[in-house]
Formats: sequence, structure tokens, C-alpha cells
Amino acid sequence: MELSLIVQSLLEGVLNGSVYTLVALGLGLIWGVTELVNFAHGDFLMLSAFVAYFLHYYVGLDPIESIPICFAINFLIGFIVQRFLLNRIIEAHLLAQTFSTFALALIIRNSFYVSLGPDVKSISNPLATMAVDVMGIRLSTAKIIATAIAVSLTIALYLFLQKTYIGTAIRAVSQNRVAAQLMGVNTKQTYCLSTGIAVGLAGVAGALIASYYYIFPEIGPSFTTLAFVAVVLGGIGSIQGAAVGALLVGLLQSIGALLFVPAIKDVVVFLAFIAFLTIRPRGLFGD
Amino acid sequence: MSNEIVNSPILRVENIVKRFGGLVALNNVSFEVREGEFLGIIGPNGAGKTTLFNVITGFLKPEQGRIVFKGVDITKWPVYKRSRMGIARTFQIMKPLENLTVMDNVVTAALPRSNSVREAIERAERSLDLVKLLNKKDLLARNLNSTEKRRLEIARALAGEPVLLLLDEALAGQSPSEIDETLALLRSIHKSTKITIIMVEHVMRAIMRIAERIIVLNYGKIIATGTPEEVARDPKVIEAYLGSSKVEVSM
Amino acid sequence: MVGLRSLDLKSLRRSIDFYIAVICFGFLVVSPLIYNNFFYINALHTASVLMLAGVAWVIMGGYTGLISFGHAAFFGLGAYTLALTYNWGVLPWLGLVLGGCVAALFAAAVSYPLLRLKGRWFSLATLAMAEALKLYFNNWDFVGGSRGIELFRKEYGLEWIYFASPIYYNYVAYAVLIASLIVLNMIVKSRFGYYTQAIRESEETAMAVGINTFRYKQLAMVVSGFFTGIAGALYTIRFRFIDPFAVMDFAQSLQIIVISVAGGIFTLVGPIIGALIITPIAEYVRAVLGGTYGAKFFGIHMLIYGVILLALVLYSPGGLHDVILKLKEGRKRE
Repeated sequence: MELSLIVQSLLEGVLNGSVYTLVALGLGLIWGVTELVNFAHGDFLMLSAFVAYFLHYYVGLDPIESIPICFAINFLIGFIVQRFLLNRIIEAHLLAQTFSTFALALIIRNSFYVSLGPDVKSISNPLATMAVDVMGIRLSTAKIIATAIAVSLTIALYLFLQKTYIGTAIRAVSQNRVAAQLMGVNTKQTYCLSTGIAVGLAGVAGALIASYYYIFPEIGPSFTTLAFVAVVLGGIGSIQGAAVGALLVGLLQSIGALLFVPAIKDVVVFLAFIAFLTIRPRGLFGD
Repeated sequence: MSNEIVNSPILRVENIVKRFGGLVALNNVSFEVREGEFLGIIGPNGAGKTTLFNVITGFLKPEQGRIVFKGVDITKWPVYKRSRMGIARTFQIMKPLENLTVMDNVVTAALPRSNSVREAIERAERSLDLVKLLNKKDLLARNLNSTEKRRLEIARALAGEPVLLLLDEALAGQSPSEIDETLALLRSIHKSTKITIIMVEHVMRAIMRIAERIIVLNYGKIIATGTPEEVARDPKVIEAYLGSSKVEVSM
Repeated sequence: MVGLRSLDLKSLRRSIDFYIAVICFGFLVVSPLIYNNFFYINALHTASVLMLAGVAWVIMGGYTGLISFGHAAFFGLGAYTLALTYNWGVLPWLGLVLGGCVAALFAAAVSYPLLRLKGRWFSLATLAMAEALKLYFNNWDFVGGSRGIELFRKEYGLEWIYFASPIYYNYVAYAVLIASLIVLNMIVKSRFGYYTQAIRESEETAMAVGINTFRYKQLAMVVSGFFTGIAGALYTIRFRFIDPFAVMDFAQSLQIIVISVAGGIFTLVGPIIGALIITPIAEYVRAVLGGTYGAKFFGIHMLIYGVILLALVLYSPGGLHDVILKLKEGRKRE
């Protein structure tokens, strides 16, 4: 196999990984702040991808242009879901917590399935077919742009959490709920805000993915799983970990496709995940 | 039978150091406990008492030092293995098995040291009888009030007929008459079996009355040990408690 | 407020469980003789297979607190083991047990990494595990890849469990189900039952009391895997063709979960009630809507499951079993 092919594959893995970062960050954020595992995370991504699709075909918007709208819609949805559903089960039994987002995922996914059908859609995007050629390595332009946006947003999130009042409140709640409350932070509202942001990020990822990938109701679960693997690899509870883990997942996918058959690249990711868990269950940056 | 075996300590805590990041919670703690002793551990808040229990029972691993129980080095043993050897503990923040009945709570505790479920049930009944909870055996644990929950903790600890019993603030939140009852219970158990008891307590009056020997911890170090009278007079102990409104040093 | 609401009186609960089981079984055994409808008989068979898988699931989920979203992995492994051995000439009665064993071994192996995760992270991991396994089987020639495996024709009869009339499959399934239930009941009444529930309630307390929590969690997974594997094998014997999407897909995991949660996850009898009530309805809905909506019916199926799950979880986590207990308790008080 040519070296350039290998390098191209690995680089693509990194590009893919940066988009996964947005999803992983969201999953990690929800966990860090509310201690809920959001089984529906990938399905929120799917939702947003469809929004981007419809915006493209009915309003003529480019997926990249749809990003603010997708973020806003997803932010609202995340906020509302947290406010009316998830806030109710924060203190509930493990059973209720595990099944709530799971059931939510089913409902979202299958509502789309039932109303839109299983057909795979895609956006015919000139960017999707364009590619950048550097020393024999071809990388899709759409992916490069997606990566650039994902990286900027990751940095923006980091700055937001570190520098703004709301961001600090979010960090405070994730570290010590009671202490944060005592200092005057409205925890319930913080949950809503952080879930909103997290789902919003998934929304951005959805719009980005819509620019170069297929869109159909079942894409949710695989992203949830990839984000989950990323979070565990990076270390549950660590934001940098989620980002690094996501890049790692992208790379592992490429390696899996190179070494074996592309169809089982996710099996490779999972095996690596299992091996990692056995050897270092804390993850790279975890507590 | 040689005197050495009769007098050898059932528990030896040797040079234990426990750190949490930069904080040294236990600073070279060493002491011995004789079989059948009733030892009290006191100290201001944050002195490291519960941390010490956690190290002895295995919930925390020390950075340095050894725990030797019945002559065996158990420092690297997991929690459950130590428990099976005969160490039982109660928790400061109680965690009963909420959705199981009182009876099931105690049977579960008796099982690891019993050969059959039937045997465990018998043991559990005896244990519940001791703490006077037998009439509530079919209630769910979460429907007990907090004093009853404390008694359940003790029943659970005793169910396996342990050799060493660690009580972590077992008197917390009890009224004076309840405290007297618990103390009477502990005394009778202590007299009738050869059980060794180590008790961490804040209720000074109680611990001074019942313990044979007291160890005082402050900032992770042992600052005094001796009989209750000796310790009460020790100027280092008085100084450690100065400013704490909970202390009644007079007896 | 969401939470567990159970009775205080344990003895009442025990005797009720037994009666419920008897009634359900009576219904299973007798009704196909009265209502000799092919579709109905089929539905009852599916129900009994799900009952076995559900009871196995509850051992992990309800008793030990390990909620698995990937039980299709065990189900599928049992199914494939039976299919392969059947075609190699091994009697299905042995194949059933082998299917359970393979699933159990897989559970044991996978417990080492998976049990490193706590709570809902564990659950997510089981989801990933099942998907990975299905993906692998779909690309593995040895098991037929996406083409699947079809059971060879054999002589009719009990030896090869191959019948002209479908109703006999039901009775084979019932027999296996009852035998399994007896074994599982014994297991649950032994110290295993006490230990696993203690682990569910408070792992710290369980450890402090002398329970090797890892070993018992692993054991719960192995037992659960074993009987789910047998359920998968039972499925294969009846339908005689399997592929990764028929036996290893998330849809199977979901079915198992829904009937268990609906019936009540804290008791062995829960999945029995749940499967008996939900399966015929679900099959009927599938048939009716399948005719009208075509491919979309599958989505409605799952959508309804999602809504049911959500409602149950918010309002009655103990499932139908809890409802029954409450009714009995109410009547006793009067």
C-alpha cells in the first residue's frame, strides 16, 4: 500500500475525529454537569442533520450557513428537554435515569423514521466533491472546512467555560453541586444551559456532517457510541479528554479500515476500547 | 500456651501514611490493639479518624505502612476479604440496603460467614434481637427512622459474628436515653464475647465512660494515648480541642 | 416523585408471584388448544422465548443493577451456536445447552473490561458491545456473514425438534422455559440473590459486609448470558433461519427490555407478565400496520416502545407487577 494512501487515510481520520469532538464534548458536558448519560445524543445530531437538509432544499442554505440555525434549534431543544423532562429525574433511581434518555432516543429516532421513511438522503453540495490535493494526498474540502469549524468551536467552548460567568457556573456545578448552590448558582438553570449547549454542539456536528455524509434516521446510535468511546478513552469527567479521545476514535477508524475491511472499522474501534478499558480504565485524562 | 500468643495484638497499625494530593491525612500512625480490648478514638473534626477506619478496612490504600490483623499482613487485601476475616464496620454516613427488608439486610451481612442461608437467618435473628429490631424485621430498611437505622447498622455489623468491630460515630444523632441503651448493648456484647471494639466518637461523655483505652488523633497524628482519665488531663489533648464547643472534658 | 414503591409484606409478595406464574403458564399451555390460530400460536412462542430472555435480563438488571442494552449479543450467540452445531449433526437438545454456554463464556470474557465502568456508562458499553458483535458477524464468513444460516432439514420429531405443525414448538419452548425458571428461582433464593441485590442497593456496603462484588457481578452476567443464549437457540429452532439482523440486532435487545420493564424488573415473574401482555399486541400491531404502511411500520413499533418505556419509567418503575401488588395490598387493607 502506498505511503500516501496511508497518510491520507490517517489524516482523514483526524478530520473525522475533529467533528466527533463536538459530539463527545457535548456528551461529556452533560455527564459532567448533570451526571446523566445522554443516550439520545446522536439522535439530536441526526435531527440537526435533517434540519440542515431541509434548509438546503427549501431555503437554499448551504450546510455551513445553516450552522447558527442548527445550533439555535438544538440548543432550544436541549434546554427544553432538560427543563421539562430531565430535571425531573435528576434525583431519581438509576433505572429511571438510564431509561429516560434511552426512551427519548427511541422516540426521536422513530418519529423521524415514521414520518420521513428510511431513505437515505444527502445534500448535493459542490464542496462535498471538491478536494484539496497536496503532494498526492487528497482531502475533501468539506471535511477540511468542517474540521476548521469544529476546532474553532472547541476552542470557543474552552474559553467560554474558563472566562465567562455562565461558563464558570457550569464548571462549578460539575465539580460540586452543593457548593455551587451555596454560592448562589441556580443549578436547575445551569443544567438547562449546559445541556442546551451540549445538544447545540451536537447540532453543529450534525450540520457539518450533512455537508459530506449521508442523512437518515438511523445515524444517531453510531455517533452516540463513538462519542461514548471517545469520552471513556479520554477519561470520564475531562473536557480535554473528550476532545483527544474523539481524535483517537477518528484515527482508530482509519487504522481499522486500513488494516481490515472498512465495514468493520467500528469493530476495531470497539476492540481498542475494550483493550483500553482493561489496561487503563481511567482513560487518558480521567480522575 | 505461651503468653505471647495470648497477649499478641489482634490488630497492628504500623507507620501508616495516607495522602490526598498534597494533604497528609494520616501522618505515620502506629498503634496496637489487644484482643478483647475496647478502644476509643477521638479527635477534632478532620483529624483523620474516618480515614483511619477506611485504611484499616481497605476502602483506602495507604501510601506507606502496614495493617496486620491476626498476624496476617492485610495491607493489600480487598475490602471483602478483610471483612471475611472478621472485621466488621459501621459507616458514619449510613448506607443500609434501602429496598430490602430489615431481615434481608442482616441476613446478607451474615451470609459471607455462614455455611447456608438457614444458618445466616438464625444469626440474623439473634443479631436483630440484640438491637431490639426483631419486631420490625419485615419492614423495608428505608422506612426506618434514623435511630432505627443506626441500630440496623450495628445489627448488620454484628451479624457475621466479627472478631473486630469498628464503630464510626455510631451514637450520632441519638438522644441521651438512646445513647445509654446503645452503650449498654455494646457493653453486654463486649462482656459476653471476646470481641474487640474500636469506636470513633464525638460524644465525649459516652466514649469516656465505655472505652478502656483512648487514642487521640489530631491532624493525622496520634497526640495522646492512655486511659480516659489520663487523656482527659493531657494538656496536648485539651489544646487540640480548644475552640471546639463540643467538648466536655470534665467527667 | 419518581422512585421505587414496594410492599412491606414479603410473604404476600412471594405467594402472589407463584400464583401469577401459574396463571400465566396455564394460559400459555391451554390457550393454543382452544384458539387454534397460526398467528396466535406464533405470537405465544415468541412470547415464551422473550420470557426466558427477559427473566435472564432481570437477573442482571433488576437484581444486580447492571442494566444491559446489549442482550442481543447473548441471544445471537446462542442462536448461532445452535444453528452451527445443528448443521454439524449435534442434537438440538445439546445445542441449546451449548448455545447457553457460548453466550455465558462471552459474558465472562466481556465482564472484565465492561465491569470497569459504573452505572449508565456500563449500559452504554453493552450497547456498543452488541453492535460491534453484530457488525463482526455480518462480515464473518464462518457464520455466513450477512447471508445468515439456515437449518438443514432433518426427520420430523422430538429428536431434531422439527415439526410439521407449529404448535409443538410452543410446548418445547414452554418445557425449556419452566425448567429454566425452576433453576433460576433456586439461584435467586440462594445467597446469590442476597448478594446481587445488596450490590444493587449499595456496592460499598456489600463490600464491607464481605461480598466479592466483582465476582458476583460477573456471575450475574454469566447466568444472564447463559439463559439468554438458550432463548436465542429456542428462537432458531423454531424459525430455522437466522442472520445477524434477526438475532443480534438492537431490536432484540429492545424487545427484551420493554417486556421486562413493563412487567416489572425486580422479580422473575415480571418478564412473564410483560411478555404475555405485550407480545401478542405487538405482533398484531406489526401485522396490521405492516399491511398499511409497509416499511414504516417498524418505526411505529419502536416509537410506541419508546413512549411506553418513558411512561413506565416516570410513573411506575416497578412495572405491571407493582400495579398488581398494589391492588392486592389495597384489597387486603379493606
